[in-house]
Amino acid sequence: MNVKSSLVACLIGTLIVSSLVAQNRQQRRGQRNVRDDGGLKVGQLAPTFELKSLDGKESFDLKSLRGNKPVLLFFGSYT
Amino acid sequence: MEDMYQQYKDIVDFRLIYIKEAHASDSRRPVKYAKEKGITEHDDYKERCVTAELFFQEQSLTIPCLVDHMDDSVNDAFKAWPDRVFVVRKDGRLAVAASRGPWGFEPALLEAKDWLQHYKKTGKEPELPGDAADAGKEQRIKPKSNKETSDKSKDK
Repeated sequence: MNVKSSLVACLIGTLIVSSLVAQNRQQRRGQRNVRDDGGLKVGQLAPTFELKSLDGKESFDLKSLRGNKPVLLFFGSYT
Repeated sequence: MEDMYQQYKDIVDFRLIYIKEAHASDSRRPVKYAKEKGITEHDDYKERCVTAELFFQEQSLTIPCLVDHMDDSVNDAFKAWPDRVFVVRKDGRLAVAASRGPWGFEPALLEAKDWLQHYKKTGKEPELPGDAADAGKEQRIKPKSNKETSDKSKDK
């Protein structure tokens, strides 16, 4: 096999691998992250709770929103 | 997060729940900026609120914020630490409950965004997947202490 053929083969191989990697990433985006850490699962009822707002003006109860709007909860901290 | 909030706040209720620090300056794995800004593990509810306020100001966030009890009861029930994203359907069931951060946070945001886009476009919540868990029993989180401002420093 001459040099030119080797280069072409490498190029084709690289293109195929890149395509597969891109496809895999796209598929993973659509997949639910199913790593099981013993936490809550899709489908389960979310635990309900009552917490005060940062400014102290509101007492939020998750259960009170049921039937009204979906809720998106971010949990986190500064660090 | 803020962009997502601004885009979908009319149709979805957003809440950022501020929980215990992941890498406070006096923790086992402090981050550099925690030392620079003097962010320590919260001794009391007031300290937790002050740190949350600092975070909001520096990140220019307007998402409504709630502060977890000092016994970390809500964090524990959701197994959320260090960070996690959930979408709760109108019927109370979880639509998105991806793995927690740090590695799981970005994929979870993408998953939540896909869900929100579908909801906004169609006006209907996406169906739960076929392998979704049963709703199970309703769990009501009650703080272990009656006082929200329970003070951990008293235990020292």
